[in-house]
Amino acid sequence: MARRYEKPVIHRLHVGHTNKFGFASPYGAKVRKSIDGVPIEELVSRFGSPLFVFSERRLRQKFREVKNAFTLRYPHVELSWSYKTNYLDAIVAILHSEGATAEVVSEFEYEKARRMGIPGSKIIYNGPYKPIDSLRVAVSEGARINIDTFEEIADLERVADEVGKRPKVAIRVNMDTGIYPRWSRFGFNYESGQAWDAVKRIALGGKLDLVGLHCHIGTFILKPEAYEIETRKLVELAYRIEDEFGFKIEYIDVGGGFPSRNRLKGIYLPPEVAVPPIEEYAERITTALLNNLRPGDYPLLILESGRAIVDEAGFLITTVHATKRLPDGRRGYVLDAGVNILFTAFWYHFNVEVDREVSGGAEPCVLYGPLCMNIDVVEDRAHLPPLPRGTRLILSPVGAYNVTQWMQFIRYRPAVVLIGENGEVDLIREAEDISDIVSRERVPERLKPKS
Amino acid sequence: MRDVYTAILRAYSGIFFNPSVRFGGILLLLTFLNPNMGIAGLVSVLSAYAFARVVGFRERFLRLDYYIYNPLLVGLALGYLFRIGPLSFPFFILAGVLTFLLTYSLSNFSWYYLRLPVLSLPFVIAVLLLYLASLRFTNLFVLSLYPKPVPTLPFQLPLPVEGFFRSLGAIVFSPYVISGAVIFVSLLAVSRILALLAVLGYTVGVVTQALLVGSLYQAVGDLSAFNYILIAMAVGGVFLIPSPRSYAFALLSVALSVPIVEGVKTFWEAYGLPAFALPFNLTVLLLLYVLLVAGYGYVTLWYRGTPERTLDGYLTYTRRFPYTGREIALPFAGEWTVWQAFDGEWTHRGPWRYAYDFVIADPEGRTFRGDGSRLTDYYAFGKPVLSPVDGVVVEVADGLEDNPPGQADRENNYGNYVLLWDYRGFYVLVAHLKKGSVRVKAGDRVLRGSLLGQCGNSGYSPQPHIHIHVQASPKVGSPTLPFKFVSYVSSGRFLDVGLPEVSERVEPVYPSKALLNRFNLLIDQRMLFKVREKGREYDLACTVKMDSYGYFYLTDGKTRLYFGINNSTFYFYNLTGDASSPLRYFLLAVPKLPLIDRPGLSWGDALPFLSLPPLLRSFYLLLSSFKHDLLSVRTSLHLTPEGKVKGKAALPGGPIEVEASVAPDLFYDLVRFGDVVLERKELGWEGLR
Repeated sequence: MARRYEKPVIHRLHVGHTNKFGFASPYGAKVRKSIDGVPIEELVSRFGSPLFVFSERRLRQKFREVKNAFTLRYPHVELSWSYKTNYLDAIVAILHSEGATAEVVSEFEYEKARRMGIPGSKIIYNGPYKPIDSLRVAVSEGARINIDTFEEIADLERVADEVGKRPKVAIRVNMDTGIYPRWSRFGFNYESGQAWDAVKRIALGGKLDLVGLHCHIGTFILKPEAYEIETRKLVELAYRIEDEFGFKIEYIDVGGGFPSRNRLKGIYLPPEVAVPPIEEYAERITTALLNNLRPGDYPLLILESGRAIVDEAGFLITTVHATKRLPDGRRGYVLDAGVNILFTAFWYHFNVEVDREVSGGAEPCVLYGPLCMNIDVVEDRAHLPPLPRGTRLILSPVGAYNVTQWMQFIRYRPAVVLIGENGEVDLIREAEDISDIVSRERVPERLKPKS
Repeated sequence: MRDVYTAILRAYSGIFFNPSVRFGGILLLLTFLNPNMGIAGLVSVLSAYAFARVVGFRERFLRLDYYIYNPLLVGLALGYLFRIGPLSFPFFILAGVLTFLLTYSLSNFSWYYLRLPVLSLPFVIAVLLLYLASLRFTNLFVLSLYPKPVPTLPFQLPLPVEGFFRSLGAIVFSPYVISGAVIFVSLLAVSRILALLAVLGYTVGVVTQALLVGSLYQAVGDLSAFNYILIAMAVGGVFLIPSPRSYAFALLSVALSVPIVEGVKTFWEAYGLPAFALPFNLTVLLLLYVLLVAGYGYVTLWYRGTPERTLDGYLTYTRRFPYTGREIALPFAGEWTVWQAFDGEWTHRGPWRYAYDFVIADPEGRTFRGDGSRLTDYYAFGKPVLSPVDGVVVEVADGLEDNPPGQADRENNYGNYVLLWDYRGFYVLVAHLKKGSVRVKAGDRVLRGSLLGQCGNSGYSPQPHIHIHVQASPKVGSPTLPFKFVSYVSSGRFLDVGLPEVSERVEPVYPSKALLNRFNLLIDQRMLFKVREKGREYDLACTVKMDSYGYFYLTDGKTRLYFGINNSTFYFYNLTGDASSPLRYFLLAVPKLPLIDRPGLSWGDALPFLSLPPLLRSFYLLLSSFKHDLLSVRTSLHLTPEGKVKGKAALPGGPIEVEASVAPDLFYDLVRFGDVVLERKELGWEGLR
């Protein structure tokens, strides 16, 4: 490869701020010329840039890995797909075909799951705000509802009377599992006795069947021990409920929050070291179950894993639009994708790969998005050789949350494609155009532009 | 009153090994061809019945007809001889009571000591005694002997046919062609197998006799030939499961009985007495006793009224429940792969051939990730090992090192293991556990699914795997016994019992708590179903009850549909009583339901021939009696994503669609078998609960 001329630059010497774990290879960027055998250039030429790319093979592989980790350790497991992580129809369809049920947190997600052919009985309805109309639908369709507030108990009792059915419900519990931050705003607190009050309230009402317990201790939890504590506490609570009120606790939902191999900001260790394998979480949870459950009793273990399954199946291809030298000596790049479509950029240092061999020494640089906003920084600690305009960058893992939390701000949201197990590439969400944005707008007659 | 009437009529039909009330009625009428005899028989049987009721017997009479068909036969035999009169009438009553006492005592004796039924032995003994006694009751002779009317037909049938009919009639002391013909036609309606055996038995017996005696004419004229008919029916269709073997035994027994018939005749003729049914009793009891002691596999354990229903029950049971008596669960959770099965390629040989080895394999079939050089590369290593049975821990080993991959410990074959005693009477060994992982100790009680330890690589094990086998004695490594696995899923198919093959991927399943609760039917729970059938609409009220053996059933009053939960499956076992009750649709639509909440799960079952229309059913059963695996009615079911059961029953006339949906509270709220729909209207309690 012919070496390109690079204008000489003086690098500031960092002393005292280096870290012993290193960050990026000084020898150059990681190169990725294809995803699952499909060349990057082909993808971009067909679908444009920026472009979200999902790999069906990786998704299925990861799902099975997580599923096996649990089913090989406990005989009664249900994986419920956390819709909010990624509810693109095609992605959801793959997960349902693998046997996942649906975990939804809003009436919108509920409708989406029903539209995907998931029966009510296979939906878990979570969330702190469940409008009463949505409860009516959920109860009449037999969904499992995890109650978050005392008001919700009252709402459900009202719905039970109206619909003439006994809803199957669980209560969401929050607790101290020895980690920080403690998520205490969802459900009923365990230690303060609030959860027990909720159980008493349900028993007193006599209109709901308490059949499960739910807890979600947080997100991106790097301590598997926390789940062991959570599971043990839930089992204890379940038996207290069974013994004192005669309810049968059919399922124990330990929530999700398992991390993916993403580099969380503020953590020096690379994810390969910092993130425990899913097996370790499975081991902790199932050991807590097998040790604390009564003999012969196998309630259903429900997991609401999202990020750990889909994150690593997603890539974002973006293109270098312009280069500039910043006053502090770092190089800055302007990309065609920013925080508008990469919400997780606020938490993660992505893995940045380049679509071609680039000569020149790697140097610290900043990746800016296309927005006219100061916060639009995709990555402020990249270490890349000088990239010519038009270079494609491949950011990963971006499969979780981005395609649900992305914003239509200033720009159109890009296309999403899926590389099938058969190697075919399918468009699973078209790039937006103006009609998507204005179709719901109405202009009063008097303000319409005169032609 | 209805009870009395049924019991009495069943005493008549019981002589021909069936419980048909209508058939009994026809026999009753036939005995009145000779009114004297008809009355005598009825008087004896009623007196026996009355005596039994006074003594305190009740329902037993409805079930065990032989208690009163013996008095009936004695009454008929006496009525055949003596006219009804002020003197003979009390004699008939005495005879009835005496025979009842004899029957009850003899049957208890023979059942307790020999495990044999009494058949009509009490009749033979009683009637011989009474005939001998009456020789001295000269008063009776003077007053009561009478000429018998002989109904004749206006035409002549071939002699052997007439002989057959007369012999058939002679069984109820009505040795006339017309009686025999009526009985034969009625028998044909009740059971084709019995009718066929009657003809075959008669033919073989008479021919054998003719060959030995030298005269066919004499042989077909001999009324004792009814013994051949009874023997053939009893051996071929009643006491053995109808099959070519039972038919062969029947004909052999008939031939064996020929000398007995002649011998008995010679002996009793000196006293002027007929041979009665003694040859029948002797032959059948002799054969049956030997077969029972020898443990012959085709002895009927439960006679269900006719050979056809018995055969149907037997075939259905063996197809639906191919048990060994040693059914155990897979000793792990999740999907594992069979590495070695029975008669395995490497170590499952000779006395140790009944054993299984399991590993975990990925979709490519590899059992490890990476290069497999470390134990932790193996998927199976460290995975929980769960108890396959309910039982007691007998012995454990926990201190042996795990071999590095590719090496094996030849000193300690089984490595670290847990040996369990199953309460049903056998031992189970689970071996090659990880060092230090065993969580139980000798004396611990475990339940199916309890954590025993973790999969390791100790003992003769080149890669981490679980070895399991069943053995009869408590010494580790003693010879193995055949067994089967219960409740597992293989390629989306549920098996309630089975033996997976090498490379098959199997996943044990445990019942869902939610479904278990929904099939926890309690005594006196009452459900009202609306049945829609061929434009007809009616109600079916069924109640949960328990019989005196502790088995649960649903009943509409007349019919019982037995059900139960075994392992992880809800079964309808079988139907007794009136087979036309709509309760049968439950059995036909969903003979079993895995209590597993997994959409797409499929399973199969065999339906009884009860699923077929009556004519076709009898034809199928007659054919099946010649070859048991000739015909079967299979049904295949699956769970839809909505959690409904749907499927097809492969009936000979074309598949019938079936459907069932589990109610949110209890049992099914809808069951459909073809056009017949049962929809639940109410659920409640019987009485004041």
